[in-house]
Amino acid sequence: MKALEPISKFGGNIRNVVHKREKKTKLGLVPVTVILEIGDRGRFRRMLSELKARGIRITHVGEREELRKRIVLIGGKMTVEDLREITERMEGTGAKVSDMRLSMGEKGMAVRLSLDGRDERVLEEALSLLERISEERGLLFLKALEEKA
Amino acid sequence: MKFIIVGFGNLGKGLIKALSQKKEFLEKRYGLSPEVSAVVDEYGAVIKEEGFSFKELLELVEKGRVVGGKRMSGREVIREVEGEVVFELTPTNIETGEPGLTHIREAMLSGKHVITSNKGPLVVAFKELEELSKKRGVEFRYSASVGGAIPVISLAKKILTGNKILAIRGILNGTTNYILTRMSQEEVPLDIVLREAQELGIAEKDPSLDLEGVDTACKITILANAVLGRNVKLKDVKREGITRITPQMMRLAHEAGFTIKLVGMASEKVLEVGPKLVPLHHPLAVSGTLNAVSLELDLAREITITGFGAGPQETSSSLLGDLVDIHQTLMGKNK
Repeated sequence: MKALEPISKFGGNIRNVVHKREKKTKLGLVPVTVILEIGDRGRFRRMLSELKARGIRITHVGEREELRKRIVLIGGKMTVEDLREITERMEGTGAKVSDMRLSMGEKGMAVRLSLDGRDERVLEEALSLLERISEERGLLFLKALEEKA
Repeated sequence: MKFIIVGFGNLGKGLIKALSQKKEFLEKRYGLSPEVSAVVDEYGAVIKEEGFSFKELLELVEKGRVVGGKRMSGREVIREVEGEVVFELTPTNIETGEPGLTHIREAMLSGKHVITSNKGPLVVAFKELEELSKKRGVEFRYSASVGGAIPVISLAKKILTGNKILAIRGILNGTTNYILTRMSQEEVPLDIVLREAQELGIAEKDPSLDLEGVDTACKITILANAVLGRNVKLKDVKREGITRITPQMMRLAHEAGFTIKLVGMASEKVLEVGPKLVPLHHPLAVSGTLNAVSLELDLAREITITGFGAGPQETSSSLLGDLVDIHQTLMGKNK
Protein backbone atom coordinates (compact mmCIF):
# COMPACT_ATOMS: atom_id res chain seq x y z
CA MET A 1 0.00 0.00 0.00
CA LYS A 2 2.91 2.33 0.79
CA ALA A 3 3.96 2.08 -2.85
CA LEU A 4 0.56 2.76 -4.34
CA GLU A 5 0.12 6.23 -2.92
CA PRO A 6 3.04 7.94 -4.73
CA ILE A 7 2.07 6.18 -7.96
CA SER A 8 -1.47 7.52 -7.81
CA LYS A 9 -0.30 10.93 -6.52
CA PHE A 10 1.73 11.50 -9.70
CA GLY A 11 -1.03 10.22 -11.98
CA GLY A 12 0.47 6.77 -12.65
CA ASN A 13 -1.79 4.12 -14.07
CA ILE A 14 -0.85 0.61 -12.86
CA ARG A 15 -1.07 -2.01 -15.60
CA ASN A 16 0.29 -5.02 -13.77
CA VAL A 17 1.73 -6.07 -10.39
CA VAL A 18 3.67 -9.33 -9.97
CA HIS A 19 4.76 -10.56 -6.54
CA LYS A 20 7.83 -12.82 -6.96
CA ARG A 21 7.31 -14.88 -3.83
CA GLU A 22 9.58 -17.63 -5.10
CA LYS A 23 12.47 -15.15 -5.24
CA LYS A 24 12.39 -13.93 -1.64
CA THR A 25 15.51 -12.04 -0.56
CA LYS A 26 17.80 -13.17 2.26
CA LEU A 27 15.95 -10.77 4.53
CA GLY A 28 12.67 -12.46 3.63
CA LEU A 29 11.38 -9.59 1.49
CA VAL A 30 9.24 -10.30 -1.58
CA PRO A 31 10.39 -8.56 -4.78
CA VAL A 32 7.56 -6.94 -6.69
CA THR A 33 7.49 -5.89 -10.35
CA VAL A 34 5.11 -3.03 -11.12
CA ILE A 35 4.29 -2.06 -14.70
CA LEU A 36 2.74 1.36 -14.95
CA GLU A 37 2.05 4.23 -17.32
CA ILE A 38 2.87 7.80 -16.34
CA GLY A 39 2.48 11.12 -18.15
CA ASP A 40 6.03 12.40 -18.39
CA ARG A 41 9.58 11.86 -17.23
CA GLY A 42 9.44 14.63 -14.60
CA ARG A 43 6.55 12.95 -12.83
CA PHE A 44 8.28 9.61 -13.18
CA ARG A 45 11.40 10.94 -11.45
CA ARG A 46 9.38 12.60 -8.69
CA MET A 47 7.44 9.38 -8.14
CA LEU A 48 10.69 7.38 -7.84
CA SER A 49 12.07 9.87 -5.29
CA GLU A 50 8.93 9.63 -3.21
CA LEU A 51 8.94 5.83 -3.30
CA LYS A 52 12.56 5.82 -2.13
CA ALA A 53 11.74 8.34 0.59
CA ARG A 54 9.11 5.92 1.87
CA GLY A 55 11.74 3.23 2.28
CA ILE A 56 10.85 1.24 -0.80
CA ARG A 57 13.98 -0.18 -2.38
CA ILE A 58 13.95 0.06 -6.17
CA THR A 59 16.35 -2.45 -7.67
CA HIS A 60 15.64 -2.01 -11.37
CA VAL A 61 13.95 0.60 -13.51
CA GLY A 62 13.14 -0.15 -17.11
CA GLU A 63 11.48 2.49 -19.26
CA ARG A 64 9.71 2.28 -22.55
CA GLU A 65 8.84 5.65 -23.83
CA GLU A 66 5.51 5.95 -25.58
CA LEU A 67 5.00 8.38 -28.42
CA ARG A 68 3.75 11.76 -27.26
CA LYS A 69 0.36 12.79 -28.58
CA ARG A 70 -1.41 16.07 -29.10
CA ILE A 71 -4.90 16.86 -30.30
CA VAL A 72 -5.69 20.07 -32.17
CA LEU A 73 -8.70 21.52 -33.95
CA ILE A 74 -8.67 23.71 -37.03
CA GLY A 75 -11.76 25.46 -38.34
CA GLY A 76 -12.69 27.64 -41.30
CA LYS A 77 -12.77 27.65 -45.07
CA MET A 78 -10.35 25.04 -46.38
CA THR A 79 -10.16 22.37 -49.04
CA VAL A 80 -9.00 18.76 -49.02
CA GLU A 81 -5.94 20.00 -50.91
CA ASP A 82 -5.15 22.34 -47.97
CA LEU A 83 -5.36 19.41 -45.58
CA ARG A 84 -3.00 17.34 -47.66
CA GLU A 85 -0.49 20.16 -47.66
CA ILE A 86 -0.84 20.63 -43.90
CA THR A 87 -0.22 16.90 -43.33
CA GLU A 88 2.86 16.93 -45.53
CA ARG A 89 4.32 19.98 -43.83
CA MET A 90 3.68 18.36 -40.44
CA GLU A 91 5.72 15.36 -41.43
CA GLY A 92 8.62 17.68 -42.25
CA THR A 93 8.86 18.47 -38.52
CA GLY A 94 9.16 14.81 -37.53
CA ALA A 95 5.61 14.69 -36.17
CA LYS A 96 3.03 12.42 -37.74
CA VAL A 97 -0.69 12.96 -38.23
CA SER A 98 -2.01 9.70 -36.81
CA ASP A 99 -5.70 10.51 -37.02
CA MET A 100 -7.84 13.05 -38.82
CA ARG A 101 -11.57 13.67 -38.40
CA LEU A 102 -13.53 16.10 -40.53
CA SER A 103 -16.91 17.72 -40.14
CA MET A 104 -18.56 20.10 -42.59
CA GLY A 105 -20.83 22.98 -41.66
CA GLU A 106 -22.19 26.28 -42.96
CA LYS A 107 -19.09 28.17 -41.84
CA GLY A 108 -16.66 25.75 -43.47
CA MET A 109 -14.83 22.73 -42.27
CA ALA A 110 -13.77 21.61 -38.80
CA VAL A 111 -10.81 19.26 -38.59
CA ARG A 112 -9.47 17.38 -35.61
CA LEU A 113 -5.88 16.17 -35.91
CA SER A 114 -4.03 13.76 -33.65
CA LEU A 115 -0.31 14.38 -33.81
CA ASP A 116 2.32 11.89 -32.69
CA GLY A 117 5.90 12.81 -31.97
CA ARG A 118 8.84 11.11 -30.34
CA ASP A 119 9.37 13.98 -27.89
CA GLU A 120 7.97 17.31 -26.72
CA ARG A 121 10.32 19.33 -28.89
CA VAL A 122 9.11 17.71 -32.10
CA LEU A 123 5.49 18.25 -31.10
CA GLU A 124 6.04 21.87 -30.09
CA GLU A 125 7.66 22.54 -33.46
CA ALA A 126 4.75 20.88 -35.24
CA LEU A 127 2.20 22.87 -33.24
CA SER A 128 3.99 26.16 -33.94
CA LEU A 129 4.02 25.36 -37.65
CA LEU A 130 0.31 24.47 -37.60
CA GLU A 131 -0.46 27.71 -35.79
CA ARG A 132 1.52 29.68 -38.39
CA ILE A 133 -0.20 27.95 -41.30
CA SER A 134 -3.61 28.57 -39.72
CA GLU A 135 -2.81 32.26 -39.23
CA GLU A 136 -1.61 32.60 -42.83
CA ARG A 137 -4.86 31.13 -44.11
CA GLY A 138 -7.21 32.86 -41.69
CA LEU A 139 -8.14 29.58 -40.00
CA LEU A 140 -9.00 29.17 -36.34
CA PHE A 141 -6.48 26.98 -34.53
CA LEU A 142 -7.24 25.44 -31.14
CA LYS A 143 -4.65 23.72 -28.96
CA ALA A 144 -5.39 21.66 -25.89
CA LEU A 145 -4.80 23.32 -22.57
CA GLU A 146 -1.41 22.18 -21.39
CA GLU A 147 -0.73 20.76 -17.99
CA LYS A 148 1.29 23.86 -17.17
CA ALA A 149 0.68 27.31 -18.58
CA MET B 1 -16.39 54.04 8.83
CA LYS B 2 -17.86 56.57 6.44
CA PHE B 3 -17.94 56.19 2.69
CA ILE B 4 -19.09 57.62 -0.59
CA ILE B 5 -20.68 55.51 -3.31
CA VAL B 6 -20.01 56.78 -6.82
CA GLY B 7 -22.10 54.92 -9.39
CA PHE B 8 -25.60 53.80 -8.56
CA GLY B 9 -26.27 51.06 -11.08
CA ASN B 10 -26.83 47.41 -10.24
CA LEU B 11 -23.55 47.15 -8.33
CA GLY B 12 -24.13 50.30 -6.26
CA LYS B 13 -27.62 49.10 -5.37
CA GLY B 14 -26.33 45.60 -4.65
CA LEU B 15 -23.69 47.06 -2.34
CA ILE B 16 -26.28 49.04 -0.37
CA LYS B 17 -28.46 45.94 0.01
CA ALA B 18 -25.47 43.87 1.14
CA LEU B 19 -24.36 46.58 3.62
CA SER B 20 -27.85 46.81 5.03
CA GLN B 21 -28.05 43.04 5.36
CA LYS B 22 -24.58 42.71 6.88
CA LYS B 23 -24.51 45.83 9.07
CA GLU B 24 -24.75 44.01 12.40
CA PHE B 25 -22.42 41.24 11.27
CA LEU B 26 -19.76 43.79 10.28
CA GLU B 27 -20.11 45.61 13.60
CA LYS B 28 -20.02 42.48 15.72
CA ARG B 29 -17.33 40.60 13.87
CA TYR B 30 -14.98 43.39 12.82
CA GLY B 31 -16.05 46.47 14.79
CA LEU B 32 -16.83 48.14 11.48
CA SER B 33 -19.86 50.46 11.45
CA PRO B 34 -20.67 51.27 7.83
CA GLU B 35 -22.02 54.76 7.18
CA VAL B 36 -22.78 56.17 3.75
CA SER B 37 -22.35 59.92 3.50
CA ALA B 38 -23.04 60.36 -0.24
CA VAL B 39 -24.43 58.50 -3.23
CA VAL B 40 -23.74 59.83 -6.71
CA ASP B 41 -25.07 58.89 -10.13
CA GLU B 42 -25.36 60.67 -13.47
CA TYR B 43 -28.47 62.59 -12.24
CA GLY B 44 -26.79 64.11 -9.21
CA ALA B 45 -25.78 63.44 -5.63
CA VAL B 46 -27.52 62.93 -2.32
CA ILE B 47 -25.34 63.92 0.61
CA LYS B 48 -25.70 63.57 4.37
CA GLU B 49 -22.45 64.22 6.14
CA GLU B 50 -23.64 62.53 9.35
CA GLY B 51 -24.53 59.40 7.36
CA PHE B 52 -27.78 58.09 5.86
CA SER B 53 -29.85 55.53 7.70
CA PHE B 54 -30.14 52.22 5.88
CA LYS B 55 -33.89 52.83 5.65
CA GLU B 56 -33.16 55.98 3.62
CA LEU B 57 -30.63 54.13 1.49
CA LEU B 58 -33.00 51.25 0.73
CA GLU B 59 -35.68 53.77 -0.26
CA LEU B 60 -33.16 55.21 -2.67
CA VAL B 61 -32.58 51.72 -4.08
CA GLU B 62 -36.34 51.37 -4.53
CA LYS B 63 -36.48 54.64 -6.49
CA GLY B 64 -33.78 53.25 -8.77
CA ARG B 65 -31.77 56.46 -9.10
CA VAL B 66 -30.67 59.53 -7.21
CA VAL B 67 -33.76 61.77 -6.92
CA GLY B 68 -33.89 65.34 -5.66
CA GLY B 69 -30.17 65.51 -5.11
CA LYS B 70 -27.64 68.26 -5.76
CA ARG B 71 -26.25 68.86 -9.22
CA MET B 72 -22.77 67.79 -8.31
CA SER B 73 -20.39 65.58 -10.24
CA GLY B 74 -18.71 62.53 -8.76
CA ARG B 75 -15.42 64.38 -8.72
CA GLU B 76 -16.88 67.32 -6.75
CA VAL B 77 -18.55 65.02 -4.23
CA ILE B 78 -15.34 63.05 -3.71
CA ARG B 79 -13.40 66.26 -3.16
CA GLU B 80 -15.89 68.04 -0.92
CA VAL B 81 -17.79 65.43 1.07
CA GLU B 82 -16.41 63.78 4.15
CA GLY B 83 -15.70 60.06 3.85
CA GLU B 84 -12.86 57.64 4.44
CA VAL B 85 -13.54 55.29 1.55
CA VAL B 86 -14.81 55.85 -1.99
CA PHE B 87 -16.56 53.00 -3.76
CA GLU B 88 -16.01 53.66 -7.47
CA LEU B 89 -18.71 51.65 -9.26
CA THR B 90 -19.37 53.59 -12.46
CA PRO B 91 -19.63 51.79 -15.85
CA THR B 92 -16.44 50.54 -17.47
CA ASN B 93 -14.80 52.39 -20.33
CA ILE B 94 -11.77 50.43 -21.48
CA GLU B 95 -10.58 53.13 -23.92
CA THR B 96 -10.23 56.07 -21.54
CA GLY B 97 -10.98 54.56 -18.13
CA GLU B 98 -13.35 57.50 -17.53
CA PRO B 99 -15.15 58.64 -15.48
CA GLY B 100 -13.75 56.07 -13.05
CA LEU B 101 -10.14 57.08 -13.56
CA THR B 102 -10.81 60.71 -12.61
CA HIS B 103 -12.84 59.60 -9.58
CA ILE B 104 -10.09 57.31 -8.32
CA ARG B 105 -7.37 59.91 -8.84
CA GLU B 106 -9.46 62.54 -7.06
CA ALA B 107 -10.20 60.21 -4.15
CA MET B 108 -6.53 59.37 -3.69
CA LEU B 109 -5.49 63.01 -3.95
CA SER B 110 -8.11 63.85 -1.27
CA GLY B 111 -6.61 61.19 1.00
CA LYS B 112 -9.52 58.74 0.62
CA HIS B 113 -9.14 54.99 0.28
CA VAL B 114 -10.59 53.46 -2.90
CA ILE B 115 -12.49 50.27 -3.63
CA THR B 116 -13.53 49.65 -7.22
CA SER B 117 -15.12 47.06 -9.45
CA ASN B 118 -14.37 49.16 -12.52
CA LYS B 119 -12.00 47.49 -14.98
CA GLY B 120 -11.53 50.63 -17.11
CA PRO B 121 -9.19 52.61 -14.82
CA LEU B 122 -7.26 49.44 -13.97
CA VAL B 123 -6.70 48.54 -17.60
CA VAL B 124 -5.75 52.08 -18.59
CA ALA B 125 -3.64 53.20 -15.61
CA PHE B 126 -2.92 50.37 -13.18
CA LYS B 127 0.67 51.31 -12.36
CA GLU B 128 -0.12 54.99 -12.06
CA LEU B 129 -2.95 54.30 -9.60
CA GLU B 130 -0.90 51.83 -7.55
CA GLU B 131 1.90 54.38 -7.28
CA LEU B 132 -0.45 57.24 -6.49
CA SER B 133 -2.11 55.26 -3.70
CA LYS B 134 1.29 54.51 -2.15
CA LYS B 135 2.41 58.11 -2.53
CA ARG B 136 -0.74 59.43 -0.87
CA GLY B 137 -0.72 56.71 1.82
CA VAL B 138 -4.18 55.41 0.94
CA GLU B 139 -5.43 51.88 0.40
CA PHE B 140 -6.52 50.73 -3.05
CA ARG B 141 -8.55 47.55 -3.59
CA TYR B 142 -10.08 46.13 -6.78
CA SER B 143 -11.04 42.49 -5.99
CA ALA B 144 -14.45 42.91 -7.62
CA SER B 145 -12.93 43.84 -10.99
CA VAL B 146 -11.99 40.22 -11.78
CA GLY B 147 -14.06 37.12 -11.18
CA GLY B 148 -17.03 38.74 -9.37
CA ALA B 149 -17.38 36.69 -6.21
CA ILE B 150 -14.16 34.73 -6.73
CA PRO B 151 -11.49 36.16 -4.45
CA VAL B 152 -8.65 35.52 -6.88
CA ILE B 153 -6.74 38.74 -6.25
CA SER B 154 -6.99 38.45 -2.47
CA LEU B 155 -6.09 34.77 -2.62
CA ALA B 156 -3.00 35.52 -4.64
CA LYS B 157 -1.90 38.64 -2.76
CA LYS B 158 -2.97 37.87 0.80
CA ILE B 159 -3.19 34.12 1.31
CA LEU B 160 -0.62 32.49 -0.97
CA THR B 161 2.08 34.90 0.08
CA GLY B 162 4.71 32.18 0.59
CA ASN B 163 4.42 31.13 -3.04
CA LYS B 164 5.74 32.54 -6.26
CA ILE B 165 2.86 32.68 -8.73
CA LEU B 166 4.13 31.30 -12.01
CA ALA B 167 1.02 31.45 -14.15
CA ILE B 168 -2.68 32.19 -14.15
CA ARG B 169 -5.30 30.55 -16.33
CA GLY B 170 -8.96 31.29 -16.10
CA ILE B 171 -12.48 31.17 -17.40
CA LEU B 172 -13.21 34.79 -16.67
CA ASN B 173 -16.35 35.60 -18.61
CA GLY B 174 -19.68 34.06 -17.63
CA THR B 175 -21.48 35.06 -20.83
CA THR B 176 -19.10 33.27 -23.18
CA ASN B 177 -18.89 30.30 -20.84
CA TYR B 178 -22.68 30.02 -20.87
CA ILE B 179 -22.74 30.20 -24.68
CA LEU B 180 -19.98 27.60 -25.09
CA THR B 181 -21.63 25.30 -22.54
CA ARG B 182 -24.95 25.45 -24.39
CA MET B 183 -23.24 24.97 -27.77
CA SER B 184 -21.49 21.93 -26.36
CA GLN B 185 -24.71 20.48 -24.91
CA GLU B 186 -27.00 21.17 -27.87
CA GLU B 187 -24.59 21.34 -30.80
CA VAL B 188 -26.34 24.45 -32.12
CA PRO B 189 -24.77 27.54 -33.72
CA LEU B 190 -23.53 30.43 -31.62
CA ASP B 191 -26.14 32.94 -32.86
CA ILE B 192 -29.03 30.77 -31.61
CA VAL B 193 -27.47 30.31 -28.17
CA LEU B 194 -26.62 34.01 -28.07
CA ARG B 195 -30.30 34.93 -28.57
CA GLU B 196 -31.22 32.57 -25.74
CA ALA B 197 -28.56 34.16 -23.50
CA GLN B 198 -29.87 37.64 -24.34
CA GLU B 199 -33.44 36.60 -23.49
CA LEU B 200 -32.22 35.29 -20.14
CA GLY B 201 -30.32 38.52 -19.46
CA ILE B 202 -26.98 36.67 -19.46
CA ALA B 203 -25.70 38.44 -22.58
CA GLU B 204 -25.82 42.19 -23.28
CA LYS B 205 -27.70 43.65 -26.24
CA ASP B 206 -24.30 44.39 -27.72
CA PRO B 207 -22.29 41.34 -26.63
CA SER B 208 -19.22 42.09 -28.75
CA LEU B 209 -16.88 42.85 -25.81
CA ASP B 210 -17.67 39.45 -24.34
CA LEU B 211 -17.72 37.41 -27.55
CA GLU B 212 -14.54 38.91 -28.94
CA GLY B 213 -12.67 38.18 -25.72
CA VAL B 214 -12.11 41.84 -24.81
CA ASP B 215 -13.65 41.50 -21.35
CA THR B 216 -11.49 38.46 -20.60
CA ALA B 217 -8.45 40.31 -21.97
CA CYS B 218 -9.15 43.21 -19.56
CA LYS B 219 -9.27 40.81 -16.64
CA ILE B 220 -6.13 38.97 -17.65
CA THR B 221 -4.37 42.35 -17.99
CA ILE B 222 -5.42 43.27 -14.45
CA LEU B 223 -4.29 39.89 -13.10
CA ALA B 224 -0.95 40.08 -14.91
CA ASN B 225 -0.30 43.51 -13.39
CA ALA B 226 -1.75 42.96 -9.93
CA VAL B 227 -0.73 39.37 -9.26
CA LEU B 228 2.29 38.68 -11.46
CA GLY B 229 3.76 42.16 -11.09
CA ARG B 230 3.99 42.71 -14.83
CA ASN B 231 3.51 46.08 -16.48
CA VAL B 232 1.22 45.34 -19.41
CA LYS B 233 -1.61 47.01 -21.26
CA LEU B 234 -4.72 45.62 -22.90
CA LYS B 235 -3.13 45.95 -26.34
CA ASP B 236 -0.37 43.53 -25.27
CA VAL B 237 -2.85 40.65 -24.94
CA LYS B 238 -2.96 38.26 -27.90
CA ARG B 239 -6.70 37.83 -28.35
CA GLU B 240 -9.18 35.62 -30.17
CA GLY B 241 -12.86 35.45 -29.23
CA ILE B 242 -15.42 32.70 -29.65
CA THR B 243 -17.27 33.96 -32.73
CA ARG B 244 -15.61 31.42 -35.02
CA ILE B 245 -16.49 28.39 -32.89
CA THR B 246 -18.96 26.11 -34.67
CA PRO B 247 -21.11 23.18 -33.54
CA GLN B 248 -18.90 20.94 -35.70
CA MET B 249 -15.81 21.98 -33.73
CA MET B 250 -17.68 21.35 -30.49
CA ARG B 251 -18.63 17.86 -31.63
CA LEU B 252 -15.09 16.94 -32.72
CA ALA B 253 -13.72 18.24 -29.42
CA HIS B 254 -16.27 16.29 -27.42
CA GLU B 255 -15.57 13.03 -29.23
CA ALA B 256 -11.93 13.31 -28.17
CA GLY B 257 -12.75 14.00 -24.51
CA PHE B 258 -12.49 17.80 -24.61
CA THR B 259 -14.73 20.80 -24.43
CA ILE B 260 -14.00 24.27 -25.82
CA LYS B 261 -13.56 27.15 -23.37
CA LEU B 262 -12.46 30.76 -23.68
CA VAL B 263 -9.32 30.79 -21.56
CA GLY B 264 -7.31 33.78 -20.39
CA MET B 265 -3.67 33.00 -19.66
CA ALA B 266 -0.88 35.05 -18.11
CA SER B 267 2.64 34.17 -17.08
CA GLU B 268 6.02 35.86 -17.39
CA LYS B 269 6.08 35.08 -21.11
CA VAL B 270 2.43 34.52 -22.04
CA LEU B 271 -0.44 37.00 -22.23
CA GLU B 272 -3.23 35.52 -24.21
CA VAL B 273 -6.99 35.03 -24.51
CA GLY B 274 -8.45 32.45 -26.83
CA PRO B 275 -10.58 29.36 -27.20
CA LYS B 276 -8.79 26.21 -26.02
CA LEU B 277 -9.51 22.52 -25.90
CA VAL B 278 -10.05 21.77 -22.23
CA PRO B 279 -10.22 18.14 -21.05
CA LEU B 280 -13.73 17.34 -19.82
CA HIS B 281 -12.45 16.40 -16.34
CA HIS B 282 -10.20 19.48 -16.01
CA PRO B 283 -10.93 21.85 -13.08
CA LEU B 284 -11.39 24.70 -15.57
CA ALA B 285 -14.13 22.81 -17.44
CA VAL B 286 -16.85 24.64 -15.50
CA SER B 287 -20.36 24.98 -16.90
CA GLY B 288 -22.88 27.75 -17.42
CA THR B 289 -22.05 31.22 -16.16
CA LEU B 290 -19.46 29.99 -13.68
CA ASN B 291 -15.95 31.39 -13.65
CA ALA B 292 -12.84 29.50 -12.59
CA VAL B 293 -9.24 30.54 -12.07
CA SER B 294 -6.19 28.30 -11.68
CA LEU B 295 -2.99 29.61 -10.17
CA GLU B 296 0.22 27.74 -10.85
CA LEU B 297 2.51 28.08 -7.85
CA ASP B 298 6.02 26.99 -6.96
CA LEU B 299 5.13 25.43 -3.59
CA ALA B 300 1.42 24.66 -3.67
CA ARG B 301 1.65 23.57 -7.35
CA GLU B 302 -1.88 24.38 -8.52
CA ILE B 303 -4.93 25.91 -6.88
CA THR B 304 -8.22 26.40 -8.69
CA ILE B 305 -11.17 28.39 -7.44
CA THR B 306 -14.62 28.45 -8.95
CA GLY B 307 -17.62 30.70 -8.44
CA PHE B 308 -20.02 33.19 -9.92
CA GLY B 309 -18.23 35.86 -11.87
CA ALA B 310 -20.97 38.48 -12.08
CA GLY B 311 -24.17 39.75 -10.52
CA PRO B 312 -24.77 42.50 -7.94
CA GLN B 313 -25.00 40.20 -4.92
CA GLU B 314 -21.98 38.11 -5.89
CA THR B 315 -19.88 41.19 -6.65
CA SER B 316 -20.87 42.82 -3.35
CA SER B 317 -19.15 39.86 -1.66
CA SER B 318 -15.84 41.08 -3.07
CA LEU B 319 -16.62 44.75 -2.36
CA LEU B 320 -17.39 43.99 1.29
CA GLY B 321 -14.30 41.80 1.50
CA ASP B 322 -12.20 44.75 0.33
CA LEU B 323 -13.91 47.05 2.83
CA VAL B 324 -13.18 44.72 5.74
CA ASP B 325 -9.61 44.29 4.48
CA ILE B 326 -9.04 48.06 4.42
CA HIS B 327 -10.60 48.41 7.86
CA GLN B 328 -8.35 45.73 9.29
CA THR B 329 -5.27 47.13 7.55
CA LEU B 330 -5.99 50.54 9.09
CA MET B 331 -6.61 49.01 12.51
CA GLY B 332 -3.26 47.24 12.22
CA LYS B 333 -1.50 50.47 11.28
CA ASN B 334 -3.08 52.34 14.19
CA LYS B 335 -2.06 49.77 16.81
